[in-house]
Amino acid sequence: MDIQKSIPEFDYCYEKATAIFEETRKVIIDKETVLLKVLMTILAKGHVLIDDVPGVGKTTLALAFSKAFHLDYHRLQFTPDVLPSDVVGFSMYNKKTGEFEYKEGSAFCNLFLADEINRTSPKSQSALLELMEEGQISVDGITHYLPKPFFVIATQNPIGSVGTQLLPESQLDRFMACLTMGYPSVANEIEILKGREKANPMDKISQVATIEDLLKMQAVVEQVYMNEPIYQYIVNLANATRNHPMIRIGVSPRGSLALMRMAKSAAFLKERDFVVPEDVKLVFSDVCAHRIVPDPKAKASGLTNAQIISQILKTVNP
Amino acid sequence: MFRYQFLYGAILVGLFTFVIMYTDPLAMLLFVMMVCLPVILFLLHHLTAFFLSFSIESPLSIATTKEQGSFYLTAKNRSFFPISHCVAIVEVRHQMLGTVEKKRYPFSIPVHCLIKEEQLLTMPLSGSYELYLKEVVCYSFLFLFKKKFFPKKKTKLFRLPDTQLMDLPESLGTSSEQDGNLFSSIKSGDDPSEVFALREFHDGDALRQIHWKLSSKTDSFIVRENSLPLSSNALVFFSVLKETTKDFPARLDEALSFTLSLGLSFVQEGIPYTFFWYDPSIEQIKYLRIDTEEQCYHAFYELVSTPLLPTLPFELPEEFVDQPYLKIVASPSVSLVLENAYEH
Repeated sequence: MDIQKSIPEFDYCYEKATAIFEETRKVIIDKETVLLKVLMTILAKGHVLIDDVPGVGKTTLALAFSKAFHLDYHRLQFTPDVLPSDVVGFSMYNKKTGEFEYKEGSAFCNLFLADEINRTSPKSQSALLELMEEGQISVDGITHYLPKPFFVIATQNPIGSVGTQLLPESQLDRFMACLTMGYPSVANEIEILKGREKANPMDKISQVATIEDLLKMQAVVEQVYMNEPIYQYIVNLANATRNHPMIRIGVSPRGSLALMRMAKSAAFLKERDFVVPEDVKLVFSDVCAHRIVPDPKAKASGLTNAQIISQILKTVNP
Repeated sequence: MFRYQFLYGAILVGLFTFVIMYTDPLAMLLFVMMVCLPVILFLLHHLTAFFLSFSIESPLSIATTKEQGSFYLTAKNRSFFPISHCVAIVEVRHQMLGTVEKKRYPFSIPVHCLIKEEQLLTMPLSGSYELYLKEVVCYSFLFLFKKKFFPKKKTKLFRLPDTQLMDLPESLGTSSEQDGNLFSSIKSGDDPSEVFALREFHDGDALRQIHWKLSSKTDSFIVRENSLPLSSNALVFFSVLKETTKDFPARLDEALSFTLSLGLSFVQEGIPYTFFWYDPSIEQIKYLRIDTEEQCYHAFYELVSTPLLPTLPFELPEEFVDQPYLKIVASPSVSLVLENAYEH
């Protein structure tokens, strides 16, 4: 028996989301969880940071989503000489017209892939982060608005090398979720190699949704119902991170907000128009692990953020 | 658990007696079933053993409460037969003292699942506790049979001592280097190259301390306080030797608290220092240069994982022979000894 959802166009949006997921699965093999979580973040109007080694499919993932949604997609490889103006744009004098013209930067698109963001200077990093936060740029006193929807998929190479500056913890807060892709299994890697022999798997992806569909999906996700105990649970989790002896700086209210949005998105992708505690548990680590600053005594013992977060999840009950 | 075996034996004897006396077919059937029961249980129990695995882990390896830490005993049962009673034998070793304590933790394993039983461990002394899951004994129904497993899995738990920031000994923390660029942020000294603070003139201040330029702009005399230069070569040597007296564990606890407090105080002051101790596992002195709080804790964790010796079988390296260093000792009481300090 089909239960009618109380949110209008819920079923239509859910079908579209499923279609997007199935389409992206054609190129990203064995990473269904990562794909789902990236989709969750997009539907929750957030940005994703993928912290992983090179060559695991981060660019392919961004391309796959842009093709499936038919989004305007730009990629910028962040090198040490990238300037803030490369990201946000600049004003250039036009001799013919005698006026300054604004030239849009790479970030003016729907899906922006910021590759290896840790290799660029803090000034360029902060230009992008400001843009992500505000959704607009002011150049020479004129405000330019970014197109809607706008998402950033940023990547960070965890292996340190000369000239890299990992994003400071205070700025990691801007990303709704921080994910890792990891290496594929042996069997799946063989499948990837065989798949590339015959044709480019990106050619298999067709557009299954439009920008308007995406905006509808985001609107539906916002309307997913969350009752009082779930709000309390989210706040209890955030408070637990602020009072934990192994954590120096806990999750901020921005983090609680992100957790709420991701939980709604998780509920939507499970074809529910209401949130249950399991939705919060599913996304808690991805949303909050990168936001906390562990105590030096925890870091020194080798405890990871994910381990501390996992422990908090076990101790705080819904 | 012997009561179950006694009860089984009593039922068996009772049934046998009934069969002999009355040759009742139902009683005979029951008797045969009761005789076969142990055989069935034995087979099931030993077959299930192939589908069991055990481990031990400590998700938060640092004790968060003063004297109690927690760890998890994990058991995976891939069969469809429950194990109603298991006992895990864990050896708890204090790595510095070398004392070992055996603890028994009973638990049960339902069918086809992975369980994580949280167990509490009392840690009266600070230091590193190595938990070794030596043996798990699984009992069958009615405790008729048991099967032993030897997982040989280990984990570690640290219990941190209480710490208190302290005033650092001036003779080691200060430096007479003319071209040093490290100064105390909380104390004044005699180095005129860097101004520590400006304040109003008090009785007893030297006239040469007066800041004439600033004083001309105000209604009172302003004096400059000179900075206290700090040494960037502070050395701390953990030299506690193992003793067999009853009060030694308490003194060791105090020495560890003192060591960590001293280290954190150096870090708080912004004074880098070198911490060293003898590690018998590598038969060498271990050096760690410490600049940050994280490095301080890391050094502490490494120190408490090192077993203590009754004597130190080494000589101080040449580079430290003429250099002043702080030695932490625990005999006759916990104290800080300044070695190689000379009056210039």
